[in-house]
Amino acid sequence: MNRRIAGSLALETANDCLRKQKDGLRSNGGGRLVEVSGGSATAVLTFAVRLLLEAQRAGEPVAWITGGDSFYPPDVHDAGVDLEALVVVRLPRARGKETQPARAADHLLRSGAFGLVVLDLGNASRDRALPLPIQSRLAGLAKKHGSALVVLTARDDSMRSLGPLVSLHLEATRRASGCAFRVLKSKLPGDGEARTGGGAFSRAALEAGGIYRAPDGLR
Amino acid sequence: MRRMACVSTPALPLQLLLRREPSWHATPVAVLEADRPQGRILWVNEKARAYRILPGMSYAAGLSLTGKLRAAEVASSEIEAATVAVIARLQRFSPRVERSGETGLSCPGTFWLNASGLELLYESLVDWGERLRATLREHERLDSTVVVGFTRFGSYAVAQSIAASGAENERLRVFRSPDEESEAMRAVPLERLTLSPGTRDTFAKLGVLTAGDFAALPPEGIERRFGKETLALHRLARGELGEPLDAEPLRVPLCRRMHLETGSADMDRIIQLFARMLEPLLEQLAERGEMLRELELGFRFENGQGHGERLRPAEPTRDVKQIMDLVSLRLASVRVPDLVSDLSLEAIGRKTEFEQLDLFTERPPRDLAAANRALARLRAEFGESAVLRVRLQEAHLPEGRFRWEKLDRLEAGGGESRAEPPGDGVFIRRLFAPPIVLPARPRHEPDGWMLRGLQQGPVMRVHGPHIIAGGWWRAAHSGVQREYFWAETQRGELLWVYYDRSRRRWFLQGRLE
Repeated sequence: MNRRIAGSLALETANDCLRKQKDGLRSNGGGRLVEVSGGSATAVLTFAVRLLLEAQRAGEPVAWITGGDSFYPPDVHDAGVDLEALVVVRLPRARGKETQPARAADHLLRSGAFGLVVLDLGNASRDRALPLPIQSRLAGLAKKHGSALVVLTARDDSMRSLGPLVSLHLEATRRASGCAFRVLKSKLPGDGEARTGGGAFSRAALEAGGIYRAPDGLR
Repeated sequence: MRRMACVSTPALPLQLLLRREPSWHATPVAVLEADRPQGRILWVNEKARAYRILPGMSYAAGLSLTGKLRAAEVASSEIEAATVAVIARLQRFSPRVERSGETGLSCPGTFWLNASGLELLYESLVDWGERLRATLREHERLDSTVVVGFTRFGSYAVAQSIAASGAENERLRVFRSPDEESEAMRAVPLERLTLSPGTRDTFAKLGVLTAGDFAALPPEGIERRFGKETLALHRLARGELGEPLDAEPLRVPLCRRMHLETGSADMDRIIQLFARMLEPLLEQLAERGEMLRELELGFRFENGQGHGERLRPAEPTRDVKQIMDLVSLRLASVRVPDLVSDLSLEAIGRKTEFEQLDLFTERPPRDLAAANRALARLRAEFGESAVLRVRLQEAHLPEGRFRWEKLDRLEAGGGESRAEPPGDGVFIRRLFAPPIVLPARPRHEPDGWMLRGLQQGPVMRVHGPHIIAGGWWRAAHSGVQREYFWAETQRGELLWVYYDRSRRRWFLQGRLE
């Protein structure tokens, strides 16, 4: 039995970011490398799927790359995503092949044909899966084609981002009152100096905007 | 004794439409003569028949029976392109292939093959037929029925009857004797043959109900009363038409072979050799007015073993750079067990006519062709099973509620039109496949249930159970009984776990993220 969990969807800031990316494409060649991470009470998948939905509604082809376990498709369908139009690249995790998901992202971004590519690293080592040279190449491709590459990672205690090329680092958290996120780092045009670290919630992230449904059996 | 086989790709235009629109498989579907309200329905699937939508109706009439009806035209050029592709595949199984139409029958997707002497090349005619069906299914994504008999009409009638019955395990039939074939043919209901509904009804009133009754009719007056097509079918039934086969010209496979004087395991050199072999093949394709649809690379090693790879570009192309890019990506992951002594390269082409129609269709803002080229590159580098889409299906167990399918190409018209407007959010679970076996719970847990070890802390709250049970009617211990719970740990993880009663173990199915 589903039970609605009233909550605040703090997607506004992220949606603003992605909108700026699209606008940036027209003005100064947007396209960004975005990292979304979460700790124990993570909401990274919920957040990423919401981005998928927004991108599809905007007419953008979308793709999801996973190197291991990933989303539960019936939930993604219930969230409104058109599964028929979702490209999924599944690559089995193997020692020595940690960078394969990144290479897959390279192919997709290089085509310029995908507006949103989600790279789900799960618990994989960030440093091995996305070393800096590869990040640099992917960030360049995303910028060139006005695409968003959203990397899902497990947050470590230092809350450091993947690297200096990440223009937006968000933490998505599930709370008793719902779903919220905070901006850990932002380098968007017009933001001036990058804002890093903190503990403070972005003002834009606070207000109630949505209700989240829990899966069966969860009250 | 001469053997004749009939291969039928039933309702070929309908199969082509569903191949083009895979998302329509679960809905009533019709092929139209023209895409307008009064357009006549030509072919329907079983789901449409369940709503009593039948060939001959207008599109508007079909829609009035169900608003779920999906319909489109299938251009004759598309049917011709598919027929040519099927013939090319069939010619690998027999040098003499004839398509229907030569006999005056209009039955797209029906072919006759000379099956004599093939027992020397295959284990049996059953083996031959199974491989043929598998080839059409894998390479052309078409279902087919194969009947190996002795006569043209006998094999054709039984093939039509089997195709209509729809049972998958009966799609291949091999007759052991002409009498066996004749007996089966005589019993085929007349409605299975390609006769117009009016002609069929007239025969029914006259008590002509089976193919045997039909073949026994005297020939006089058939053309005058029922038309040329019925006459052609009658002559076929009486054996007056067509042996031997009026075979399609044999399309010699475009293939190049190269023997290496000195064996090599240097993949860069091998790729260069393939490039050298590719160019003349592309020229030959150009002379035929075709583009490259599929490329088969073959290796033979010094230890006598062989290895093959198959590549398919996103769109038929003659772009050397694009093709060699795919070859390089694929060969980068190939491990050679020994020095390569021989190489072979075979190019399978496709006529270009049909693709040119795409020039004038509406294009989405992003370049779909570029997207499909990227998917082809992914398949070339990571294998055919790397690029997928997910399909939901009815099932009780979570892992059964969906399946992964290979995604060949993205089509226009997705996402934007079908994604639901954002409303309530939905929490998404991460699924662990297979589920992770958890340690057995000790009798005493002084620190609480450490489901995920010390790092996550003990479980603080448990929600459930939600029970899934099934198969209890089968033999003892073969059913499924799972008790699902949500377990919230001290650190805030929300874990989706279940207790499997039959295995008496706890499993971690997933996590809310």
